[in-house]
Amino acid sequence: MNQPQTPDTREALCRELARLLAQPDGLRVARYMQMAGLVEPRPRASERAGKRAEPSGEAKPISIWIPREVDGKTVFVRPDPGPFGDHYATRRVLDPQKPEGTRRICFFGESVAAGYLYAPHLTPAMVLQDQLASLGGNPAFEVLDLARTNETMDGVLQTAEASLQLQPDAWVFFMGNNWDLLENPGLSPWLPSVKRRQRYARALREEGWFGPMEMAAWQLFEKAGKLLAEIERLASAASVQVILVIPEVNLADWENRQPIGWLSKGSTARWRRLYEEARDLLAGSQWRKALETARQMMRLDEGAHPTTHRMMALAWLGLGKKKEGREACRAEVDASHYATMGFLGSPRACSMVQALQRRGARFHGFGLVDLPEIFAEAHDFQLPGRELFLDYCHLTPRGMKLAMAEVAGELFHRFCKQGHIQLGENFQARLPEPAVSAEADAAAKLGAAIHSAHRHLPVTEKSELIEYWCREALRASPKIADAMAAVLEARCAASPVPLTNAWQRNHRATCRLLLQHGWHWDFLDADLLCALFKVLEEANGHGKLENMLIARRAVGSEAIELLPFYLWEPLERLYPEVMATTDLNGRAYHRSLWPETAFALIHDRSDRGQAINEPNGARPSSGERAGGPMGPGHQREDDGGQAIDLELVCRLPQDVAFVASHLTLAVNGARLGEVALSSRWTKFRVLIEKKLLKRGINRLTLGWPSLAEEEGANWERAVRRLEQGMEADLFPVFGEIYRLTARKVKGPSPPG
Amino acid sequence: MNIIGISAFYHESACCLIQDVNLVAAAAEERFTRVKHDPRLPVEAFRFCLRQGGIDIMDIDRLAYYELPERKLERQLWAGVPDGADQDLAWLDPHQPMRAIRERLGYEGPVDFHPHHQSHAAAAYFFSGFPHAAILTVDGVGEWATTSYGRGSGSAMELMEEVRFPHSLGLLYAAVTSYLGFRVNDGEYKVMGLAPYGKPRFLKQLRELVISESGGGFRLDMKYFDFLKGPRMFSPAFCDLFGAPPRARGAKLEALHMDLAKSLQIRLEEIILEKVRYLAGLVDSPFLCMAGGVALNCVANGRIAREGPFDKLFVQPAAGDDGGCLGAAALSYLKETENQEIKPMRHVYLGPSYQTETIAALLAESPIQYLDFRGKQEELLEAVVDRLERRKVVGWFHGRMEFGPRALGARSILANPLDPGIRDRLNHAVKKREGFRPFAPSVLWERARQHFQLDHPSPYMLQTCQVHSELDLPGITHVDGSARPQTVEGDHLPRFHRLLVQFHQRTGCPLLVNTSMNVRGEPMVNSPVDALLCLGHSGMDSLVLEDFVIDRAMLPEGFEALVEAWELKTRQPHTQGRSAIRENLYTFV
Repeated sequence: MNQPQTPDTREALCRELARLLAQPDGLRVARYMQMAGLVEPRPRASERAGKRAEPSGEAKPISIWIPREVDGKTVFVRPDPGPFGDHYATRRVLDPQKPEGTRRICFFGESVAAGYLYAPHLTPAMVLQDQLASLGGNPAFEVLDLARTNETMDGVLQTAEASLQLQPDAWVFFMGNNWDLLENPGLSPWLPSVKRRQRYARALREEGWFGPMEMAAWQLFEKAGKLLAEIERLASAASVQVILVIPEVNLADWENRQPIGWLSKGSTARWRRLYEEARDLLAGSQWRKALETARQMMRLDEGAHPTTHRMMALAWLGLGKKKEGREACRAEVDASHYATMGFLGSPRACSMVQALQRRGARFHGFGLVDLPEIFAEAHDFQLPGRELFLDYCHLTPRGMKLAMAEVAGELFHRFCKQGHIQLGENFQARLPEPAVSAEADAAAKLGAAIHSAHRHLPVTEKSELIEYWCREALRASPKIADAMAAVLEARCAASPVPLTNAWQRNHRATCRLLLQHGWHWDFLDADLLCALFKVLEEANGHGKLENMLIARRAVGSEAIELLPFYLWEPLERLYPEVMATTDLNGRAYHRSLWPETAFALIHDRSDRGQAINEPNGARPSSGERAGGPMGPGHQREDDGGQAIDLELVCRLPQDVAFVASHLTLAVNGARLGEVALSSRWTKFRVLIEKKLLKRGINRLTLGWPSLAEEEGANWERAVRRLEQGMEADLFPVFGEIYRLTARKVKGPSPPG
Repeated sequence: MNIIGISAFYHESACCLIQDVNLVAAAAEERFTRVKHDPRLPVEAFRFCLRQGGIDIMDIDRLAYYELPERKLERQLWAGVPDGADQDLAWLDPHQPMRAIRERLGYEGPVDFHPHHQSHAAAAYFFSGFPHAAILTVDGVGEWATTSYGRGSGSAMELMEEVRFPHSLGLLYAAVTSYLGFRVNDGEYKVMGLAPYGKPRFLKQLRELVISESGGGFRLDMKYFDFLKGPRMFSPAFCDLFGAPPRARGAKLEALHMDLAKSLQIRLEEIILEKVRYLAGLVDSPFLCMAGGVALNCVANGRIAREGPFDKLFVQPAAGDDGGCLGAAALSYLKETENQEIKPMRHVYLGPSYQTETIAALLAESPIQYLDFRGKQEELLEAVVDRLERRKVVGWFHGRMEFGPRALGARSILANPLDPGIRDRLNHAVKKREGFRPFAPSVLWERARQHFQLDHPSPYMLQTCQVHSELDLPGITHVDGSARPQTVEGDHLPRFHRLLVQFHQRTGCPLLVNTSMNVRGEPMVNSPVDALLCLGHSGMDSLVLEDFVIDRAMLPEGFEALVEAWELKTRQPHTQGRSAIRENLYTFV
């Protein structure tokens, strides 16, 4: 029996240590000792010894192509893509033996290189192959597409090395958009790591918001340098030519609006007021005043915040200053690249990535295809926009053609030096247009619309871009209307996509959408639905679709929870706390990083229910009843003329000062009223009268109070928490919602 | 009065709600997140409990946490830092649970912290319905205690003695589990299932590993163990003792492995029986309550019930750390109400349920054909019995989800126990797991004695007994002639009871094979969507979703492949723990 046991010295010591660590300063002392490197656990024995891979003469996998013996020789075979497609080229077999007299080109890169949204129907590698073939000449070229969506530096190097088994003559690398948090996830202060948070805190203390950005830049500089050096080493040893394609990004049509983090000198509230001013000035085309206001914002955030640059860009462009506008757009991309480590912003190669590749190419003697220069020249130095890009970085067929034409030229230059084929100055004009079916083109463009709805975050209106791509999709193929309806139906369904009729229909459709087109989305998607309704209405009416939305999602007599499914803006969720980590789930409540939180309220103003005619999988069998065409979830009560009763449980965040404590509610811009908030949870009931609601999608907004001026206490609190290894609020939180439900009520306003 | 109980941050986190005198809701987080044994703060389970209780976050009177972080830290400091483990020393922070409760749940009210074994003991005693009882808790480790001896009387409970870390029957079992190539905190019940295949030829060695002492004490010979410093739980001396290297995960199971499992099981039973007898000498009560992970060892429980000194045994059905939240909540409830008694736990159906109409809507939106038996329960049961009689494997989704590790007729896979090939089929084709694993039966209580050596109800599948049926029951009879039955009465799950009655009337067999609705590596299903996805990637022939029946043939062409691809795409990074951050938006770059 171990009890009663005389406490040994060690146990007593540990008890005292635990007691001290539980004191307010105890943990802080321990964490500072860790920061100072005074407390370090021993690494694992295996780590101490170092890990070495045993060299092997056997064939090894090339990306997902696995070595197999077929007819007595080794080839590389990939698994069949699933019904949703996958991240890789569809070519099933790679033969290590290249055809005689052929130059074999291995093509590597990320989603841009993989033809994201057009793949597998059209990819840059396919375009390059066609262009090379059209140019003719000797030798012939064979392009092997080894690009993959979500590629990383480690992955590309591993694939390139493995590709030596294919006897390549040249490697083409088209990468750099992913050289952000995807490459350095360990930099994020939201990872559950004491050390990483402490390192981030140290950088914040030393350099403010630029500190983490510089830390990230140095890591990238080192990592990219090693990657290019290793590519050079492998290529030299195997006599493989190397070409780098420097990515360009969408500067004209894509924005990465982000909330402002706490500013170290306590000017966050002022910055927010200036932001609102600047936005109004831009909307009123008062460019010079907007520029001056943006400059004031920049004096506060010291240029670390991307939105300020975007506002300057819009003002410059409004003033007709293209060069300044371009520089400001580029600065926005640079600032959003690592701004807070919290946002996985839309991937776009920043100017440092482009510079690293230019420098690396010169240093190692690689061929270089500089897309920023090429696109600028081809488009009369306009800002690169939707002609070249579907979204933030993925290319249109025209973008692919321009980019690959330069690659083709470079390959000819390298492999056809004898000059029996002269490309000529305007050889690009002879190149074929990328061949893609109308259906695939339409699907890609609808994918662009969906991406724009989810990820495009402009400081002003976003609907124009979504509607543009919806119209383009319809223009490419009217058949895409069925896919649009399917997307809408999936959004309205109560189950994951593979359990919906919509998905099954899509699976058989000619304009077939894959996962890359944005099916994986667990929210109503109000922006997209509004755009689809509008564009389909222009084309041929959408009444039936809106009926379906109302039948399945309208507020009924039973309360429905609006969080999180009916949140209007995806960015409201793009906060680190909704990212579950390995040690913590998300929160039990919603926090708004914005002064306003919006929800979609689906309302049916009609007086009578309306039958919905839609397909149903049920078939009756003998003696057993089958489900009817309208399940109970589809039955609409006689709800004409009723009001909506909202129940809201919310509070203001603790430790944040506001100028007032009122929450303002509005629907479709019409003010409903105000409620007084505190930093404790409180329940409110609000009635929305029928006259304020329209049939279909209504926008319900909760306007939180404005921040009060403070002296940097929030920034200091956040840094201190990071120093202690805790997650920290690096951004202001404006309001918190535990519950928001809506239901229809009859008669006068409810009690409460 | 609303009391929330929370257990979290080790494995199987869970949340419960005691409302007035009733336990109204309890659920493990894994069922919502679909991450097996999810240890993280039970955010989803918390929201479910509040919904189920019809309350908001500010209506909670008190929140109870199932252990003492500062005392746990003492023990962690004492044990030292294992080589290479957690380079961050994140565990140095004893305030992390409190911070998570405040910041992640958003809870503002008073919080109580209760000792780990007190929570286990309270989960067993206060929900047992016994007026007084002896209490035994046995697990890996709480703060310091690994085994505790206590007594309860009315609303009072005390723990008198404890065995302290590192001497732990739970860690002994875990070490052997690890040596046998199974995952710790997951594979222990596989070792228990493997034991009947072996012979106890290593009993002598096991008696060297764990030495019983007088009274309630025992100790491990620490030269055989390495859970203080190393990445493995056992030392090289452990391997020498059994004359073989540890089994690699997935490698063939040899006689040595089975014999070791058997020896371990016998040794565990020896010690527990001895300590139960010791406890009987301390506490003057005919009743025994048990909890802690080791109390899920149903073979040992069966022996305690049959051979032990107590008349009645109550094992908390959620005996592991998930059930700790119940005890913590009970302790806070008693504190808040000045010892007002809590109603005993009569069933485990404490999780979410889904309205028939919700399921109807879901099916109507889907391409899945289905049979609709709304308002026709008898016809539904006939249809299910038809399928079972034809030896089909049927998923059975009905009512509120079970709390605890066992499927007890709410989220179950059912099969015909008379089918000689059913065990292999269930293991390989349906659940995709190891072939040696046994299956348990659900049996009508009024018929149970005719088939099992059982003289008391066993509603939670927590005891084994011998099969003595005239029927040939290969589906549920283990190689040693034992079974782990759930006795079913009509009170709490009348539809399931009626199903057994109808199956009995049709076949003369009053029992069914009952296993949890999931496949290997997945938590048990919670929602109708989970069940439909499970139908997609398991080998079930049919699924009963409340009033609806779906046969595999009713699934659209390619459904399985679609589901598999979807699951891979959407769940893989998170469930496999490959990605530290799971972004809730799709990201392709």
